[in-house]
Amino acid sequence: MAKQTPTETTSTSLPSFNFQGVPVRVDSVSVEGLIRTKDDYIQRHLKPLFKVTTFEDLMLKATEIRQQLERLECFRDIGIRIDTNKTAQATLNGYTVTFRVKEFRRFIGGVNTTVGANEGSLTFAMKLPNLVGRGERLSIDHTIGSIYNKSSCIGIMKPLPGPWNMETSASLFNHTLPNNLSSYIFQATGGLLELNFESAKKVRHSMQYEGSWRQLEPSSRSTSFPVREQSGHSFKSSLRHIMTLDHRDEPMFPTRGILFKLVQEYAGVGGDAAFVKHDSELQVNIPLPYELVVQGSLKMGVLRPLDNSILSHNIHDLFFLGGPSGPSTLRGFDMKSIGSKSQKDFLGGRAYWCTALHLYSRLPLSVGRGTWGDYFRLHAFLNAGNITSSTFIPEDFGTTCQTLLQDFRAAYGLGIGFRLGNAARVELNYCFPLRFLKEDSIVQGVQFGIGIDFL
Amino acid sequence: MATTPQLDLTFNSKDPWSSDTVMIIPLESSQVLMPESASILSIHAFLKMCKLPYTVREMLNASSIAGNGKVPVLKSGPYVLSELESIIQLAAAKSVSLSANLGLTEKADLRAYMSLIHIVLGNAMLYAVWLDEFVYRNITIHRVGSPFNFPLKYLVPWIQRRRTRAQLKGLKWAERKPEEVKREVETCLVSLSERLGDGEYFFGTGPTELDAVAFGYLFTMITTTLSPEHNFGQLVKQQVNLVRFCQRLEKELFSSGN
Repeated sequence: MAKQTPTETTSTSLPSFNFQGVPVRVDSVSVEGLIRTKDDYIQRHLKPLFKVTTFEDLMLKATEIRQQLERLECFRDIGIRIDTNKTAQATLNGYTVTFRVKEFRRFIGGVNTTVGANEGSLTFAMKLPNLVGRGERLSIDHTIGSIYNKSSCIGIMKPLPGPWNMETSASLFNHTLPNNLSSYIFQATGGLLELNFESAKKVRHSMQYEGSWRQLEPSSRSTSFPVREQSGHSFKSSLRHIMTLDHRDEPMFPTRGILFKLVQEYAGVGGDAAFVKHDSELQVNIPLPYELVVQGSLKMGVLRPLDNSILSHNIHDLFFLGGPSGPSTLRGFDMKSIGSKSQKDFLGGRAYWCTALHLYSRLPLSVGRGTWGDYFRLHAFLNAGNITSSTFIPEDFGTTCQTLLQDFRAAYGLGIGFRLGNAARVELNYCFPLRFLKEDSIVQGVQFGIGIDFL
Repeated sequence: MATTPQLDLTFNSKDPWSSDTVMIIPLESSQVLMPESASILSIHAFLKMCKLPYTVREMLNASSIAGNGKVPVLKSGPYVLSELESIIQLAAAKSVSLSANLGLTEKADLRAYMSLIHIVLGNAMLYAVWLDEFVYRNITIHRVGSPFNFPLKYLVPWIQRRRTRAQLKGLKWAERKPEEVKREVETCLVSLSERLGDGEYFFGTGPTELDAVAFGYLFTMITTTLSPEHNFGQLVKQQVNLVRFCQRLEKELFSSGN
């Protein structure tokens, strides 16, 4: 415990106090403010409080439980009151703990703006939190995007008891997504069942089943034939597993930690679509002196169709590479432009890899430090990658590997990034493409990107 | 379904007819429907009359390729077309035309008869295939759903049926009874028979676009049986000169020499 030495100008120093030495027995824990929330839903979170023996443990435990209650998304303004037990049944060293909560209203509505890869959209969202008292949540969203995309979703989520922070959710959706870079409009209508849980600290799993009816149609008269060939209806019935291990200190501009994400999808549990898709991402952040951060990332993915039918997969299931932001980020190249193309439509690929090395630094000379300057970072980067439409079938394995390693693209540059809350980032970079093919759409010079995922 | 208007497309008349022109159709044996067959045969006849070379490719998603749901789809060089009108315009841009030597009134007549066939025979076929319960349940549903597994096997025909019903409702065909449809078809056939008379072709001494369309629709009606209630073949057989016309054109265009 730090001891304060009194000086002439400071106020009277506080005596140091050893909270570890204060014995405590928690006599009662109560929660005030519960109206529709069921008692048993809250009780299991409070049980650990009865085991504390010292005052310091009591304070830490009470704060931890407060965080857990916040995560339930049923309450706002959670207050804690710890007091000695003054009732007649008080034991020696008896304490009472009271949590004062305010339940969320039954209905929360709002209009938000969301940011996707280089386009913005407006979302009308309605949430009914804590529906029948055990943390269930019903949500309805309707999103209208700036480029004619439309999306509606209604979902219900229920947290499950147990040590793994489990929750299950079911939703129905209808998306209309125009893709102007490949001249098609993709529509999907279907349902998603999810089971999310944590298998260890900061390791989240999501097991999903998706059943969706997809329609692909050419968006203009000039849509090229390879894209038209893939138009039509198909039903995708697939199982997906997403594992995310996130030990970074924060998601936007991390200074330390590792992110490892693995996505596996098996489409073919009935329906028409039949493919297996793997996608992985690894990001390592190493702090250096002078508040610099070195970040290295590697992403790889492969899609393998399981039969030769035209319905097994379509262009919307494929990977794309290129662009200033989004899942296909490769700075120094136009959005989604790397790989095969027909006329001006980008056709994507079935196997890709990309990697990047960044050196991040805060604004120099402590400009805006502590206030607005903290939202900015400067960075120097080197990114590279490749994509191919051949896939790793056993006969072709060697050739596919060779193709992927041979003509890879690369670019380096400098830029400045700005953080929009904890959700999105804006980057303004000056790029120098290093390795590229003659027909690639390179960006030599300024490139602007806004989005959620970056390489 | 995105509607893509194609009639205002300007075709490049400098390049010759593309040598890798391909006609894309649904699977003949298991997927194609009667009205689609009629359009396909009309375009076969037209291209053969113009002596323009092409190959045929069967695709499960043929009706989604053009964007307006119509088959057949003709891919010629950079152009992807699906209506007879556009294909006629493309041929004209390559300086091939069957009705160039007709006078203005004859040309107007030609268009009128082509319209008659499309509207009466075309809609009658759509009516029989989509709105007749027996034909829909026994033939149409299985053919349209054949490329898919559950659930699209039943969902796609259902959606297409709703769409066709709305389309026919707009044209006032949906409320008609089968006897009315039969009478309309008979009237149209009589009119065609009168126009043909004893001649070899409908106009002049050579085949025109009308001959191609008439052949396509009439031949399909003769050779396809849907149900006892909708037996278009019987109606065509009542006009002997139309039957002879079909037999003659079949030999002329599709015998082994072509």
